Amino acid sequence: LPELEIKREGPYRWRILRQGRMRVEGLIIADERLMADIRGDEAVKQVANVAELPGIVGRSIGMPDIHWGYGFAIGGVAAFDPEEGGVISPGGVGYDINCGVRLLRSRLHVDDVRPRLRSLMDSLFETVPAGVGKGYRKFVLDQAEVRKILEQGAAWAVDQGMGFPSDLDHIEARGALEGADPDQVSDRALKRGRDQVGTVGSGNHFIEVGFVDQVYDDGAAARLGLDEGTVTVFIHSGSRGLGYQVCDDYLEVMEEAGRRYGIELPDPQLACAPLESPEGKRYLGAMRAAANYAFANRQVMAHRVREVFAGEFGEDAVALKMGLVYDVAHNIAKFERHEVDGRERMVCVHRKGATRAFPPGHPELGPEYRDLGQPVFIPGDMGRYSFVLLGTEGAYRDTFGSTCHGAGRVMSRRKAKKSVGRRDLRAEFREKGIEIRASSFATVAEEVPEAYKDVANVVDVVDRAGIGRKVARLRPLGVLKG
Amino acid sequence: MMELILGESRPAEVEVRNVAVEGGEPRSLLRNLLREVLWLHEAEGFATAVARVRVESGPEGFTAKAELRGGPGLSPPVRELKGVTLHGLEAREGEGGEWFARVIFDV
Repeated sequence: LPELEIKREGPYRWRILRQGRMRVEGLIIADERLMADIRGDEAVKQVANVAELPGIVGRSIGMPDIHWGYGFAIGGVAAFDPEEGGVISPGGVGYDINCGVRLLRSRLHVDDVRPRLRSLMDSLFETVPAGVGKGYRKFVLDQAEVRKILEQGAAWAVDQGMGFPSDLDHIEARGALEGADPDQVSDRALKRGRDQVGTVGSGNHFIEVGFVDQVYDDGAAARLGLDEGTVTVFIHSGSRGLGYQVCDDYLEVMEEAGRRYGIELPDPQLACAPLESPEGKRYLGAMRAAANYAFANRQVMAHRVREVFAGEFGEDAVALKMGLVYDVAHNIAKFERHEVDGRERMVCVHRKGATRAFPPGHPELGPEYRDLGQPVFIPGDMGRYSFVLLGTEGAYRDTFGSTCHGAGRVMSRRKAKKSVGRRDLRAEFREKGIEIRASSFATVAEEVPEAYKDVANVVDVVDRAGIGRKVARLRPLGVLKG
Repeated sequence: MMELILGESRPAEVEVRNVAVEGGEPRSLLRNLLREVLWLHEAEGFATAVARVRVESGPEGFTAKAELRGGPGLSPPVRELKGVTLHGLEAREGEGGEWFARVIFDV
């Protein structure tokens, strides 16, 4: 591919003009500073590569936190129309199917928690398994039970007494995607899922106790229960080994199917099959099942977190008002109705490292948030801050109802680890008032704040570009890492 | 690959596992073999220390029969590998008969 032609369109929009085999244009949402970083890696080319896939409609889109990924860039959004031979691609969802974030609030004030923070974090570390490949020895399920999770998602956990029925009203798709088909999930994936429900995992996954330190929209923050000083808990994880296995299994299926359907790919990791093909339907069934596992995973962790808070503060979760603000995926593919080229169509939106951000009035939002818009969570690094936003009409119109999902790395894991050397990270964070608990400090070294862009810059662009609306900023008090 | 997962720790050679994989071309054969090694580690805790691989080619493609020697790995491992990606995957024979391979793992 010759050098891509990029044309600036306003302060936050960069069009990648069609050339070669691109079927649609590319669009990246960024300001000049972020775009300079984005141009520095392969992400722009990856947006253009996705634009070559059959049945893509609208534009191949990059969020302000976009960066190089495997095949699809991380921070990429693309929609495919089944009536135009549109495809589904496991690489467009990623290995960690339904990696996502949920946020709990409480009636606790930051001043209530600070004196007990060390003990609270110790209890969390003892109660919620975290770490590489770490399972839950006290909570091993048989395969029949795993299959129930794949069908029922978060409702499975609520039925087991882990959570409240009202939690389901505050989860994307009520915590269970329709059309999940456990029969399309391999025995290998089921086996990997037996002991990992309710576990954090490793990498950039975490549980973070924090507090609201700045409010940008008093009315919206009050509606979400996020007044200044309120203690919150973020849970960031996904479908663990089960989801990785589903992705791995279907990459092989799609590689073979793509050849049979004559799909030429600029990158083999974009392996895909038509949405209407048997292979496409099988993957959709398996992917939705894995997504449901992830919803259940976060539900079980939220239950454990509530138990720990109850033990620490001597009141149960109801008394502590530990309600679920929302739970939203950022690695997923879903059929949604969008207007494309002046016509409303049902398209399959791939979001890989991008968060759904539906506007006020969208019928998929529950009654509590229907007039407000969908809550969106943008975690930053563990030393600075994270943001709560709301979905907007702009996102629905311009980015298939999507916005960014995080800060984006500026350093590879290896480089970050090397830069840390022998620094005492636990002590450094403690000086900042942040308690870190981790099963491996190598993971913490890979995730140090300087390894990430300042998420405030990314969120400001999101807000000004109109693909999200800032509501509140949260600061970390304690972080549990794998 | 095992060095990425285990760091400098080397598993003892106390057990032998035999695996057989197929691939239409060398790069998919390599990927399929690595997927098996990763699966054995993730699901059964078997860490490969040494692999002896016999590759045969036929009209349908390639077959690899591997004898994997190893044992229990480091617990917890240093790093989680989510998968063996197809991105940038290469396995080719050079002019002098040497083999070149590039594999990118999702970490």
